[in-house]
Amino acid sequence: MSQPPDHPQHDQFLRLYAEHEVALHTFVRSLLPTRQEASEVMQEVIVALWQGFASAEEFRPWAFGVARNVARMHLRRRMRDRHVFDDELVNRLADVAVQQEPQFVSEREALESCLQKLPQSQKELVLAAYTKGTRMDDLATRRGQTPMSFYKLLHRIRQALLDCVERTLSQEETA
Amino acid sequence: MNTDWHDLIQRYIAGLTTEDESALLQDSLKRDDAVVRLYLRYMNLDVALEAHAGSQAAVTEMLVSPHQAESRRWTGWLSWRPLTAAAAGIVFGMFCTSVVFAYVAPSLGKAMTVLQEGFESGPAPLVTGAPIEAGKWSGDFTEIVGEQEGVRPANGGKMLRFLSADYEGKSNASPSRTASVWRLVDLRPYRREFADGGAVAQLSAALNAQAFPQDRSYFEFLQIHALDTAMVAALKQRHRTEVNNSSLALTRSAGVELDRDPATWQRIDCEQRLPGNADLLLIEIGLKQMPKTNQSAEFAGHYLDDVRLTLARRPLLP
Repeated sequence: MSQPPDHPQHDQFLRLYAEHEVALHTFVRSLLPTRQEASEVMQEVIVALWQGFASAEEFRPWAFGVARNVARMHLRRRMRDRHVFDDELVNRLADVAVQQEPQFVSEREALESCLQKLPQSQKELVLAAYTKGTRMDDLATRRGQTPMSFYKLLHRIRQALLDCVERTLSQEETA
Repeated sequence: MNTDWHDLIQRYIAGLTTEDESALLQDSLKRDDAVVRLYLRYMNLDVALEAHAGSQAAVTEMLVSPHQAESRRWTGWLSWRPLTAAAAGIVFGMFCTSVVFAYVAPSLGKAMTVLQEGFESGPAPLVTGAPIEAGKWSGDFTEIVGEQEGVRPANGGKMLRFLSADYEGKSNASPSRTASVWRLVDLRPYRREFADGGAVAQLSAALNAQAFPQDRSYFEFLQIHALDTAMVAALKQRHRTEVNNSSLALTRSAGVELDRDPATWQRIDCEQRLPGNADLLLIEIGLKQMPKTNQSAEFAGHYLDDVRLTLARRPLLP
C-alpha cells in the first residue's frame, strides 16, 4: 500500500467501511465455497477499496461492485474445480444478495435472540464450531462423536436457528 | 427429485459435497429462486455465527490470559482488520461484547476511572433524550428507586428504573422499543492519557429486571461515541443520525438477553480505542424489547446500576 495517510479521508473511509463491513462479508461469503476463502478475499477487497476510494458518494454500490470483481478474479483462478460456481451463477447470486441485504440485516438481528434460546450446550457447540482455527474433527473427537454425527448435529442446530429466525421475523410482521 | 436442500447446502458450506452434488446445487441455484434464497440465508447465518464466535473467543482469551490476549485479540471476526489498519494507517478501535465482569488487565498499567455511578446521590436523570451538556444523565423516562419487588440494587441502596421508551418533547411519534440513558463525559482533562492513540475506554454496566411476560425478551446494550466539541452541536439539535455518522469512533456492544431471574444482575461491557483527538465520549446504556410490536415498548421493572467508565493504556496496533 503506497498511498500516504490522509486523515480526513481515512476517517471517512473507516466510517463507511465499518458501516458496510458485515454486509460486504456476507456478500463475499455467498459467492465463495469456504469461510477461509471468503476471509482471504475480504482482505483483498479491503485493499482494493482503500486504493480506489475517492469519495463517499455511492460508496455502497461501488464497494459491492469491487467485492464482486475481486471474488470473481479469485474464482477464475479455480475455474477447473467443479465445486466452484461458474461466472453466470456468481453474477446471479451477487444480484440477489444485494437485493436481499435488508432482509439479511433483519435476520442477523433476529439471530441474536434465537441464539439465546438455544440450549446452552448447543449454543456452546455451535460457537465452538465457528471459532477461528477450530478443526471439526478435533471438536468431534473431544465430544466423543464421529465427525459425521457431529456434522449432522451441527446441521440440525443451524436449521433450527434458521427456523427460529424465520418465526421471529414473521411474529414481528404480524405483531 | 426429493433433494434435501438444507442438507445439501449445509454440506456445500462445510466443503463436504462431492463434485456431482456441487454440480447439482449449481444447476438448481441457476433455475430455482427458492433454492437461491435458502442458500443465501445459510450464508448469512454462516457469517453471523462466525462473528458471534469470534467475539466470544476474544473475550474468553482476555479473561483467561490477558498478556496473550493482548497480542492476539484481533482475531476471529475482526481478522482482516489488522491488515486494513496497517495498510491504510487506520486504527480500528472497536471491541465490544458481554462478559461476566468488567475487566481491566493489570498488564495495561494505569487504569483511570472517570465515571462510577451507583445512582446513590445526585439528581434524577433528565428526561430530554440525548444530553446537551457533560456530566449529567439524560434520556428516556426513568426514576431512581430503592429495592423493588424482589430486585435489590447491585450496589448500595439505589438503582435506576427504566419507565418507558420515550422522552419529554419527543417529536417522532412512532412506537419505540428501546429505552436508553445517555451521558456526555468530558475527556479533555485526561487528554494526556490518550492523545497518542494508545488508550481505550472501557464501559461496563449491570442490568436486571422483574419477571416479564414469556412472549417478551429484553436485550441490554451499550454504545460509545467519541466526539469532538463541534459534534456536540448536532446533539443539541437532536440530530441522532448526524451524530452517528460523524462520530470519531462508534462502538456498540452485542445485545445480551436479560434473564428472568430478579436475583441476578447481568453485566455488559464494551471497549473502544480512543481516537487521539476525541474531546468527549457520549455513552448510551439501553434496553431493547423484542419482538417489535405496533406499540411502544413496556418497561415494567427494568433496572440499571453500577456503571463504570475507565480509561486504560493499551499498546498501539502495529
